[in-house]
Amino acid sequence: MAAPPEQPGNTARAFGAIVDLHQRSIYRYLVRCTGKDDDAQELFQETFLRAYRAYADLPADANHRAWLFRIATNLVKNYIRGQQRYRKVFVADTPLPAPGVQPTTPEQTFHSQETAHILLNALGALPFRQRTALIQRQLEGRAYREIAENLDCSEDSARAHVYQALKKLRADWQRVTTGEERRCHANPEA
Amino acid sequence: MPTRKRNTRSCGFAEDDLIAEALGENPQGIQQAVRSHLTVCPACAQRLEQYTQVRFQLGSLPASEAGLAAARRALNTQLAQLTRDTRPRLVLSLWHSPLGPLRIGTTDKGVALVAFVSPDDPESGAERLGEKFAQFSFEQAEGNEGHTALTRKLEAYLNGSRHALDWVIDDGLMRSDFQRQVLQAAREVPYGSLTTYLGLAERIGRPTAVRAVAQALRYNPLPIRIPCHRIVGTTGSLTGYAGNKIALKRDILAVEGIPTVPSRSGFAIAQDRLYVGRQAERTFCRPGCEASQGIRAGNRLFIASRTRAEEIGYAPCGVCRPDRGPFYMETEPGLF
Repeated sequence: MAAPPEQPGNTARAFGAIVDLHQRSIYRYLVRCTGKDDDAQELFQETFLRAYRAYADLPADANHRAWLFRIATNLVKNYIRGQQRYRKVFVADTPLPAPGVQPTTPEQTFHSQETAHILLNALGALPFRQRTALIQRQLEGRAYREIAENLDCSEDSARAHVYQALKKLRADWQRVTTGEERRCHANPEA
Repeated sequence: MPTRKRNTRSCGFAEDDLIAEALGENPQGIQQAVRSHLTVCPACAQRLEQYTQVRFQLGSLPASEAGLAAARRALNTQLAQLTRDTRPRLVLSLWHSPLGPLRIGTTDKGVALVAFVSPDDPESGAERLGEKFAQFSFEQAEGNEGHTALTRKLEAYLNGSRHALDWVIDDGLMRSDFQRQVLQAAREVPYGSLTTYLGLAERIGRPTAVRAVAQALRYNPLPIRIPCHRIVGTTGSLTGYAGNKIALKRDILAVEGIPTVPSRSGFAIAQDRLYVGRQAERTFCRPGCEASQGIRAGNRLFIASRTRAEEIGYAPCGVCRPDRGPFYMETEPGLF
């Protein structure tokens, strides 16, 4: 066994290696869940700080990736809740734009940055489970079994969350890509 | 294939099968069914195209490298703080003193540790120290000015030119309030003077706790700075020091000008060459003076010289008149 005075150094080093290994996936996951760089950075730090505090008690054979994703997902859950509360309190008077419907002109619609924007907005409108399940599946390539574990649900539910999310995104996508037409229907005078 | 809710399209085809097709999750049988349906149903083909596009666009969403780098930097700062803050630092240095190698440990509050190190293997103690004081993180004080100043004062003490080793103390390594009390009482024994274990026990009002007092002194985390060497056995025997380093105790006593003689159990103070101080009366006698016979151990000090006795403001005894001239050649303090 290592002598106690060396232990924190060892722990910090071992933990640093874990961060090195998983930081990219976790960061990407958080950016896509929050849609905002600065929020993602904050959750990123919080994820690894929580992980560091729990690291000493982690079983030696633990799956670090699953463990980190679980912490990140819990933080995303709180984050989404906080946002919903914020919207209710502060923005309730102004009606929210329908998900994905951006005040865009048709010329801009197919711009690639715009595409990302639309998708991020659509993602941001998804409920917590659908959002995190879809991102884990589509962007991080995690198995339904892993997602099920991450969200405390069955594999079938995990799959259903992903499919539901895709249905909504597709609908938004269609609405935006054919936006001009629809807007004419909605506002005949425009 | 797990059963799932079939969201049926107007053409009678399941929406989920289209999604699964876009995700490449269909088993072969269904894949074939989907493909043959697509050849006859343009609406489903269009829908599949939309799913495929959404999937493709999702995959190309950006995640900035700069954002990750910034997050990692901030995390590193916080982690460093976390590891630093969990335990206080103990800054260690090794000084090759005339008494042998000495390890000095300081915290933010002051000197917490003085340890005699085996001269044969000065590095060996460091590991044991780590086990003993796991509450600390250790750091080597290389070129640390604070430590240099400490050793300079200690050096002056050991060559007799400095009497008060006024290092600021951190009592964090003391084991109990009892030990703090004992060590505080030991600090009140003046330079060049001695008392006994019983004397110290009486001074703290625990006259029967002689052995406990001795143990508290034995585990003094700050030897020399807290002068546990100024406490000897009731018979005058040096009894022990930091375990069994009696020669060391003799050397430190010699630094303060206290004469010792070889005895059956090692060394004893030379009582016939030490003045006897009476603390309550603030007077001092020649050895063997009848005025100091039978006084309580808690009231008695052995004092190395007239100079020392006068320094602490003791008056010469009116019976034996120690002020009338030295009764022997007094040793000057300083061994080295």
